[in-house]
Amino acid sequence: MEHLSWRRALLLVLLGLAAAALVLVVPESRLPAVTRTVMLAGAAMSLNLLIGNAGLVSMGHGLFLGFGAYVVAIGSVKHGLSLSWCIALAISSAVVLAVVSAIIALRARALFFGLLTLALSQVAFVFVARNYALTGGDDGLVGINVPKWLDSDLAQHFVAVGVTTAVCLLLLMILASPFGAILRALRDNPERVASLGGHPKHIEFIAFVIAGILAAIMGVVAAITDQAVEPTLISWTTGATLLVMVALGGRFTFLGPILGVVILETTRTLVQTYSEHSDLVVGLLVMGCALAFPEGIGPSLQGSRLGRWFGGPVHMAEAATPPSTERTAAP
Amino acid sequence: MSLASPVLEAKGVTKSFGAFTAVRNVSLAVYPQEVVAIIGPNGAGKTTLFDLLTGRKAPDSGEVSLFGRVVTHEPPWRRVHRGLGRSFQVSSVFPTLTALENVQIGILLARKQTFQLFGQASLAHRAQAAALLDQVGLRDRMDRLAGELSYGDQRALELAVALSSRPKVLLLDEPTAGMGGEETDECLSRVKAIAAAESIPVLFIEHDMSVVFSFATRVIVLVAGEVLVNGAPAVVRADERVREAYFGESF
Amino acid sequence: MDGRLILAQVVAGVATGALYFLVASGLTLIWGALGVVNLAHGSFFMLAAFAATTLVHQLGPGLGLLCALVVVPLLVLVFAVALETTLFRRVYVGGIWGQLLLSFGLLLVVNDLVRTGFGAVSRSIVAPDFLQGFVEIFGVRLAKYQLAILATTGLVALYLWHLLARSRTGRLIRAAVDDPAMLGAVGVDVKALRTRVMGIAAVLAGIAGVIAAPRGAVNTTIDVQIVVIAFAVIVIGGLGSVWGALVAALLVGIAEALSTLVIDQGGEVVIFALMALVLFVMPTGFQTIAGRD
Repeated sequence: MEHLSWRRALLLVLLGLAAAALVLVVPESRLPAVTRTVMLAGAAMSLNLLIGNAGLVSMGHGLFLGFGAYVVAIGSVKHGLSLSWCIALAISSAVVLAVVSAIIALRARALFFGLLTLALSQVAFVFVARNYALTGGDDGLVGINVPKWLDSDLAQHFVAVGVTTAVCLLLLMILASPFGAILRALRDNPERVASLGGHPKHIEFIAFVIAGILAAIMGVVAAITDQAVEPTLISWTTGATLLVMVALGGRFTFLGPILGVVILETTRTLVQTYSEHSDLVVGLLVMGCALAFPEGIGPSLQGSRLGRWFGGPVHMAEAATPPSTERTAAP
Repeated sequence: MSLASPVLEAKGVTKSFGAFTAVRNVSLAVYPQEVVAIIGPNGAGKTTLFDLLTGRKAPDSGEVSLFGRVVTHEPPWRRVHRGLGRSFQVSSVFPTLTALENVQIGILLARKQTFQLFGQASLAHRAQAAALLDQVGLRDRMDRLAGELSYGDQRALELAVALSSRPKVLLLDEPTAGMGGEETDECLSRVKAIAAAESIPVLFIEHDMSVVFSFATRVIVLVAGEVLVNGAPAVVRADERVREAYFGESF
Repeated sequence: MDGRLILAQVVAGVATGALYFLVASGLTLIWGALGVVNLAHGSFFMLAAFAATTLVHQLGPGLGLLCALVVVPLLVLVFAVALETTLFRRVYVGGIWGQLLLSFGLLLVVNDLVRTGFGAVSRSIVAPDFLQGFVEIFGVRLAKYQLAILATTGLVALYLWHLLARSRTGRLIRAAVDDPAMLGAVGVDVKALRTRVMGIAAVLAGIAGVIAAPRGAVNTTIDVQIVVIAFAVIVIGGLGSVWGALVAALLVGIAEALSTLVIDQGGEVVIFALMALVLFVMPTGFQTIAGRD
């Protein structure tokens, strides 16, 4: 169980302030890349509610991220709606999308669940990429209108940091709550949860919907900070990248996903400025981590002081007994 | 006893898997204050019968009722809220949670706090959970991970978790399986004490004959999916057919 | 709508489906039988396709393609076996997560190397002269090259059937699909079996890559494209079932081809919609594998 304490909440706020303070050290031209990293961190945290805590390996989380962004973009660019209307519309329609896709995706179990989420996000991706009239197709949509106070890299960075911090605090609260504790128990042993009076499907459903809505909120942030959207945001590439980030950082540590995002995104953007082989470097990095830390980097920090900051009471036994969703793993 | 209505009743339940009939036309009832044992050789359909009673599987035909209400096709979780508690044959605690957390989860689920998104689970129902662990003798180990407890302790924890929903009838699937003699005695006296103190009727599956006859107030013998004998321990022990079908091979 | 046009589309769909089958059948074996999830399986396909274009550029359409058909799958085989024995082998114990990370990293690395080695520009090659053009059968115009794909795939499928039904490796693979935990327990060298199956899977993907090359643009996005489709095929067909994959691949190929009659672009959407639909109705695909979900 996660513990909710003022110390941990304060730590998250401090982490947020540190991310905000990056504007003091990062050159202006690099700020958008940092902002994007912050946005992805929030998305990865929302994904880990499913992966690490519910044992639901979703591969299509990009669906919600892209959906939130596209609703804002279409509202703003195609219909000239004000930003607050766009945001309200994005979040409320994301609830509907999350409910519908949860009903579909949760029919399947284990990796089939993952592939079903992937299929859903690919359907949405192809629809978006081909539908030039509504979504701008492959080109995406450019020119999202934001209020004046938001029309600077600095303000957008602060918004991204603020929302991501809020999402993290909310997730900490949820994981510490009875629901979060039962979600963990469900990952360990769904049958036992059912025999104690919980309905596994209903619990997974709520987790899926929450994760979907939070990802859509991060999508809204992406739309605001980029003032543009493009279809890869919704595709399986985004979902798979987020999945890898979570796995790399450590899905059983609370802040593991952020660690994964920071490592991968920082490497990618740094290499990108010097060479076009960022994929090569990132790929090698991921492969190296697979060999050195198959359970992610977070858990291996656990013993250290840094790890205690990161982790919370995650038990090492978890690494030794993979949850039941991973039954298809190598014998 | 016959005046009271049964807390748990099965009427002519049958369950087949393909061509194999695991449970055939079984009727039984558990009354208040009773401790009923189900015995039978391996493959007699004992666990399948339990699954039908708890809702893990649905019978092909027949009826299951709980406190006078027909629940034949209700899922397990709903029956729990009607007062049915069960333990599993294979120990099934939550290995990555501590003993205390295991019981807390049970209490949270039983109180329908499943969808409560605020408040702190680790602080919820601590006293009650600790008291339950005390009852099964695990108080000093309540902060250990369940997966790291000894086998006997896991079974004891299992019992505490099953009790966490304050069941009005308790189903135990081989509560002493894999235990040594001393552990078995300890476990049983514990179950006995709890059943008596809370006046919970118990239905349990058991292999160990000495256990059955020292503990049960009634014994049901299941052979090849059918009820062979149903009666007081002394009656069952004396029954010729039981001797032939069952004791012949294991005594 | 013209019946003959529809029929021609169906044949085209079957040819596409045949390619999907070659890629998916290998993937379903290593996943279903040996629990290895290889996201980089499409990279074998892409490597083969690029290698084939190079050989055709060097040796001309006829000889080049023929050479490619022989040499390229062997090269891919060597590459796959090398990867399996040096890298994949190290992450099996950790379960699926190490594999996901490793193969995702591999996907990025191979993609980058291909972009560097072969150039980021999309390539296209022509089919050999004798396979160009159309033949008319019962009044339906069919592209010769599609028929050639069908013939090749048919031969490979026949070999695969022989392998699975008759050989010791095949028996082990089938046993592993039924009960993955059993193999090690009865003393089978699972290590060697994994290498062998990974090799077979890579060869199948290599053959698919070569014969797919003259059909369309060969570029650096086809690795991801084909592997995602292969996953869809596997899921529809049922994990670990080669013949389920065959049915699913043909179904997907035909559905995709027919959809082009109705919508201009984006036949892929049909694949994923089909996958979502099948999984929604049958959460473990057409073939349910006993004891697994």
